[in-house]
Amino acid sequence: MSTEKSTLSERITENELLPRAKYLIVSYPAMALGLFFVVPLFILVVVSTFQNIEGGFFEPAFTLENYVRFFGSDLFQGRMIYTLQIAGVTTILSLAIGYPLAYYIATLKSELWRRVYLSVIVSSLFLTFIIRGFAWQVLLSSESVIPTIATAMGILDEPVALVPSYFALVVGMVYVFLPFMVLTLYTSIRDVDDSLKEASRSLGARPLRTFREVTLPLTKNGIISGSMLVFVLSLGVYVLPRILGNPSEWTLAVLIGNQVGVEGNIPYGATISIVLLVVVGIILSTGWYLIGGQRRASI
Amino acid sequence: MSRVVLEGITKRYPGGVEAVSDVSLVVNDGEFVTLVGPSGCGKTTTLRTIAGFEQPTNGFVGINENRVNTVPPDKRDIGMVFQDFALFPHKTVAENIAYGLKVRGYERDHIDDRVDEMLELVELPETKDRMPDQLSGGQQQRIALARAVAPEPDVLLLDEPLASLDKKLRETMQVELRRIQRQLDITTILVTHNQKEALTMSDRIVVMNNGHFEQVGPPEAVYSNPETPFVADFVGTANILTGSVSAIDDTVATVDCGHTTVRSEDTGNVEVGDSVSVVFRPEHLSITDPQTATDGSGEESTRFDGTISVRRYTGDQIEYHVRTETGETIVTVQRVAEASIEEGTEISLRLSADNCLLLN
Repeated sequence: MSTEKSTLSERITENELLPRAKYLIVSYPAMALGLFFVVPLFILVVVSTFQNIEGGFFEPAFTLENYVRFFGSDLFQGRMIYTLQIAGVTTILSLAIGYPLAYYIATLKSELWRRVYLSVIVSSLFLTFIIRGFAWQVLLSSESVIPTIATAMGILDEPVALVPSYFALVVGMVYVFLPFMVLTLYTSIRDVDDSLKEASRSLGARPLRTFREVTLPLTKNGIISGSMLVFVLSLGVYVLPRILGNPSEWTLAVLIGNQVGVEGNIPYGATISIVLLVVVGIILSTGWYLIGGQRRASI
Repeated sequence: MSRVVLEGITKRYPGGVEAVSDVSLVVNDGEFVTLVGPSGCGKTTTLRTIAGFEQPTNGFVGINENRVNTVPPDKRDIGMVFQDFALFPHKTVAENIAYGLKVRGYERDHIDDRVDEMLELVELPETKDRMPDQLSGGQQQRIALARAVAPEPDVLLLDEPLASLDKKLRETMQVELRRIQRQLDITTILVTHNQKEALTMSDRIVVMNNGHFEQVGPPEAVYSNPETPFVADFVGTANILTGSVSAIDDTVATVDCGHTTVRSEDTGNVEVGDSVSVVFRPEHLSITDPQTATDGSGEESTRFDGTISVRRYTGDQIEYHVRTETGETIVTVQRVAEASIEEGTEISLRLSADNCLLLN
């Protein structure tokens, strides 16, 4: 009897429950992706073709008016280029500052110290960047430390406020996004086997040559990933330009916020968002192509 | 003349760990010397000191009569093969081999010729344009060797180059490596934990233990005349008993090992009363039937009686672990051609006094 029972329960488990569970599990990623990403994106696209009504309302329509307006306006084209430019500057500076830092930490012999350094870098992410933005606002204001030191060193004639300015915005953005760059590069640099560097040295290459011929090419993917990450994050920056920049330093994200929050033109805000998304998409696929291209070559 | 000289090399790490203690060695031009020992014995540290990846705490490192203690690896003119081969994964086979030549600033034509020559040497010309991860382990090994010797370095350093290969391939590569080393006549230092590899490949072997050199010498000498119990045990298989010398008359010493009395002709370094290790090789024991064996009263041999506790068939020979009546285990071997003996059989072993070493 007992064997019969167990076979019965086995049959239920295997024939009834398992197949259903299987479909549930298999469909979960697709469902999550659809619910949280595809549907909102679809709504955004639809709304961007709606007709705006003065006073914060809109009505369903199918019009490309918003896109025509965006691509036709100097202001927004200028903002697009400006946004790309400041994201580019932030990325290049993060890479320039981040690579030596990541290299230094990654090549430390003591695991303890590597952890300490990484923890310090990660800990700066514990605070929201609104607070860090305000901190820089204080640090760069006229009575504050940095202008005072700069004056003492003769860089500035008198302690003036460095904020709001393009300089302040770049400082703030690099500060906020540097950890992402360092962490990405760190992983990549750690992956380069010590014996490869030693092989290069044993073959007569000096440290600098070894870096150029071995370490740098082997961390190319890390450089691309880190740069893409920082660039994309910088493109979407909203709070920092408002805290550290003049209105002339406002990025596309700020203008999207203004369209929605101040002007009440939701379809137009959606349109600019779509354009920004497409730009991000192009950058990401280029990056992936570059990484994939290298991987293909090594197979 | 490419000589490597080590004089009184000591390497102490921060924290006080002494990896290498006061070792000295001269490797002559064209010689193949192997550093062999268990892991952690300091052999790799010694090799890395010669390569320049480690600086000795004390002592003199010389390549070609020049003191190179603080000279960085890239200025030492060495070639090195690493355990994991360390081929540059982003460069083709040809680019890997060309690397050392390119760095030295040779002309392109010369580099191309040399790369082809090296590929011929390791018999892999068809792999020229492949990436390292398209090669098998044995091929990667050969390319790593080709890359190391392409710039014609003074010294070739091999850090466990065969350890990651399977047995068959390892044996093929041992022969290959030796052939190439002879052909290039390059001074070579190999590090391995595999005593068989050390014995088969080298002109001289250096047995290391705990940061010390236990013995330096040609493979035959180290195998047949180990100077310490460690060497006897590490190189080949050895039976080691401990006891004290009870009598020496003329040429034969009598050693009292608890319940067994052993006779040995190796009387050079011992005196009556010394505590010694009695060392003899499995192949020097002859197996006899206890019924017909003489009682061992012949002065120049020792008789052990016991029961076979383990029988191991290894293909070319059979190994027997014999448990003696006095509780020791003695290993002996028999060629397969002879009649095999079952486990549990009582046998008698005879050891001639001239095959028995006494080590202090």
